[in-house]
Amino acid sequence: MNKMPQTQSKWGRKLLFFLLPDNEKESLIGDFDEIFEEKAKEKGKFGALICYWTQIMILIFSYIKESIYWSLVMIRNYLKIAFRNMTRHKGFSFINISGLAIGMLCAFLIFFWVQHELSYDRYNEKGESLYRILQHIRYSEVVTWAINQGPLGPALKEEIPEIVEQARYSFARWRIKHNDKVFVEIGGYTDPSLFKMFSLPFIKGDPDTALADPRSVVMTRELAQKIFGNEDPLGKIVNVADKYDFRVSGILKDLPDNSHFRFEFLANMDFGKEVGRTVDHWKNSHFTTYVQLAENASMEEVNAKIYNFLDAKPTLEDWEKLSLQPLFKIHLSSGIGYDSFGSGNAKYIVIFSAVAFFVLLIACINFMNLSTARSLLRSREVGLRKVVGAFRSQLISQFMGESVFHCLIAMVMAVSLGILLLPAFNQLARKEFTPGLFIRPDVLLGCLVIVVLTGIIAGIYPAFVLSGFRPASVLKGSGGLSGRRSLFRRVLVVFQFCVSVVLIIGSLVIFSQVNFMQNKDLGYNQENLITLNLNSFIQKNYEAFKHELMENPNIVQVSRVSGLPTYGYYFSNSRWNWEGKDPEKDVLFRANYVDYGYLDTLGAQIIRGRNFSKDYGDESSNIIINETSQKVMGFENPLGKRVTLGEENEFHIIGVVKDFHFVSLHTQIEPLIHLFNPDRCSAVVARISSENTPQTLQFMEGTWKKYAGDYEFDFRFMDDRLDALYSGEQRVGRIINVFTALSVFISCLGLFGLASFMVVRKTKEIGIRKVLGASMSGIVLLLTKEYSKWVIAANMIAWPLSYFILNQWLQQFPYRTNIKFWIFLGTGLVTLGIAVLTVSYQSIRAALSNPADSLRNE
Amino acid sequence: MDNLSRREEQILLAIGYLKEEAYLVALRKHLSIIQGKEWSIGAIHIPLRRMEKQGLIHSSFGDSTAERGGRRKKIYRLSSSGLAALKESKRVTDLLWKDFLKVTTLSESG
Repeated sequence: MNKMPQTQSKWGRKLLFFLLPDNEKESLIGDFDEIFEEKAKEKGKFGALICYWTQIMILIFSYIKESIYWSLVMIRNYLKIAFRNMTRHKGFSFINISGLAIGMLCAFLIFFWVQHELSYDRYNEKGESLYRILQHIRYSEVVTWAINQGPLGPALKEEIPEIVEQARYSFARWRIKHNDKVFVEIGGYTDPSLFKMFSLPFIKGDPDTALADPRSVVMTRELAQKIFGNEDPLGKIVNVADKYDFRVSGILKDLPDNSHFRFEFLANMDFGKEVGRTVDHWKNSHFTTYVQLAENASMEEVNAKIYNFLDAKPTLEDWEKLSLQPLFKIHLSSGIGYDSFGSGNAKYIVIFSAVAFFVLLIACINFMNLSTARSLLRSREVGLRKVVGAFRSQLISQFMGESVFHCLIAMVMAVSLGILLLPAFNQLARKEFTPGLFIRPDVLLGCLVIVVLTGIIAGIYPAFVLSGFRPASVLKGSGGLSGRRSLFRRVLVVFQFCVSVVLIIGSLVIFSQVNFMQNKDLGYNQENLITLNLNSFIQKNYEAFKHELMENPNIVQVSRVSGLPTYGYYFSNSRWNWEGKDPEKDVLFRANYVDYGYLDTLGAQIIRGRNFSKDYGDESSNIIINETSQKVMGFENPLGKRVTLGEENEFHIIGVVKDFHFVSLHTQIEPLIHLFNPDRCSAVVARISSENTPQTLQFMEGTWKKYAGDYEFDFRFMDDRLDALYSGEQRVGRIINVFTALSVFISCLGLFGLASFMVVRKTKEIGIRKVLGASMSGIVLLLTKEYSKWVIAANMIAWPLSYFILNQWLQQFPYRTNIKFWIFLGTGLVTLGIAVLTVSYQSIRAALSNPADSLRNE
Repeated sequence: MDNLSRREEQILLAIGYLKEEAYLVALRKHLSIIQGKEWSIGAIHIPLRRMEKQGLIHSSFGDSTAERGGRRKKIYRLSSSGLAALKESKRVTDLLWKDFLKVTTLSESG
């Protein structure tokens, strides 16, 4: 028996169920199913499905046509009146509708962004059962890492029955050479089981055998194209790091842009072993471990099982615990160390959603306010309609319908603007959205919901107020413009401005925090510092390379290091021991391998003792600690004190360096130890003078080319690196700025509309005042005072509110700016100024008008 | 009473012909076959609804059958006023045809 109607037309049936009147549901859905089934036999599943939906559409359309047909006369009249009203008050309508359109546009763009952020990794078919293993280690406090020991994955799979599959992943940066072209790409070493767990479809090659050979590599289509052009890449040989030859054994479809993975190639774990990934022992953490749970397993149970899993293993630290992190949560998690795939931030999702909500709300309030204000001018129309026999329900639906109609125009405007502005937004938010987004069914449905909701909410107030008028009193001319109603509008204005003020203050504080982080004294001089990655060629002839560089008078100093500030390859561990150490308390120290003169090159200040120097012979058992380390170790005078690392390594403190920020300002300064070991360095730093920078760089490049083989001269300035650290905050700041500007703009539009409305209503009053001798300034003041009052009130409410919110936000930064009072005051003055300007434009025009004009028709 | 529209008239005739089997799917099939072009569901359902409201037809639910997933059929039948409307329509149409044929032969074109 053909089962298709039961499965294939589920959505259609739901839609029908939703749309049809109760007494028609059963029979009509049955009829649909029957026809569908017949069609399915005749034309196949797909044809039947198309037919089914066409029929539904025709049905809906017929319903609409039917209902319109019978009330066509009235609708035509409503439409005519709506158009007349719109064209009679052109400016007003424009303000009203465009304000709403801008609000909708903001909501759209942010909605796309938020949805994209939330969609990360959802494309994985088995995503629901995939987890990443997090490792929690207690040093002075508990830290969480996204990396684990090499043997962990296989051990988990073996010992925990619920874990059915595992894959390890370790970050790699490869220098790939093919036909003398060199590419530096990021990728990873992994287990072949990765392909089984994640949806990584192969274009070419076989997932089961692609990584069987340790000298095989799988590439994304993009990378293959880059290296091989249009040739068939499968089976081609590439050279890696000038040492190893790899055979391309598979081509992957490019990763979707909402994947938390960022790799261009994947190679076998066994090769990772050759290049120093410690696959076999429990002392070192190198791997991100992904596991797949059995279908019926619960995360809580498995979590409980693995929590103490490492206790029985010979790990480095005493207190190491494990937990599962669902795949879908990876992208938005923050505060996890060694997360090699950089991630989003859940907080910004909340912030942006809130901003979108409020901007849309402002726009809706505006719309509501202006619609109400304007509809009061139509009390006569309402009176007349009532006299000739309109029901209240008809009037209500007329006004609602009209406001839904306006919303529809606004929506069309918003979508067209959105399509136009999408490229700019993409640049701002670093996304790749296409206009196709606007015709996705869920977006269309969302549009419809927004239009109808906003329309109804905006229309509800004028509809009920107006339809309640008593025709006799309205037609007599005493139209019900009572004070109560305008109070309601003023409350809305206050609310609107309140939100705008919060947004302005918010963007100012975010801006000043970013500024603060970028300008904070880091404890070293980040300007004119050039950084280069060290490679084996330079390392071999380093002394000659350095010597040649130093011959240029513009190059002040050159040195080597393993971990540059911003470039966190620090060797972290808590096995440091010293006299008087509290045995209960583990402290995580960062260690950095340096060459002579590194601290000088950086411009860090030695406050006690001395720097590493050639004059003292072998320095390999000497260390320089930072102030924080000194504090942690508790030495009054640390010089000469003995410090051990594990059992075998013994060091003496020869100096203390003033604290400097060796990672980003998102974290506190941690204890840092400098060890002397040029062989383990991985970067070159050079301080140059600020003059003739281009020539100096040219000279450096020349020298580099002599020594570095065919490695590119891939230099970066330290301050650029630092800027990149705060690009997240900067981007958010920029986005918020844009939306703040829009919200202020919308609020002002609203105020402008309201003010002009008020002026129109007070034309006669102004005329009389002028006749009686009021000065122009007096009249302007009279009109401006009113709204200024409300804007000031809005500020009073918004200040404490924004202070509270922003204080919360700033708590995440260990180094934060103060929220300065002038920000509040300035915002207050600016909003007041804008409000006064907007209102006074209207009031000056009113005050300048000739009283004879306004009074003569009475 | 308003005149029946052409579509309404056709549907009423089909209902009269199909008797106990006069539910939407059968009506649609019947009409489609006779006219040689497919009727949409909406094109039948909407007039049915309207005519039921006007009292031209009555409806009742039939037994549920497995092939419709247990959903009952809504069977329509003509009411007396429906029948009267059909008769009236036929009377007018017949008269008009008669007059028309007096002066025109159908095989002529143009």
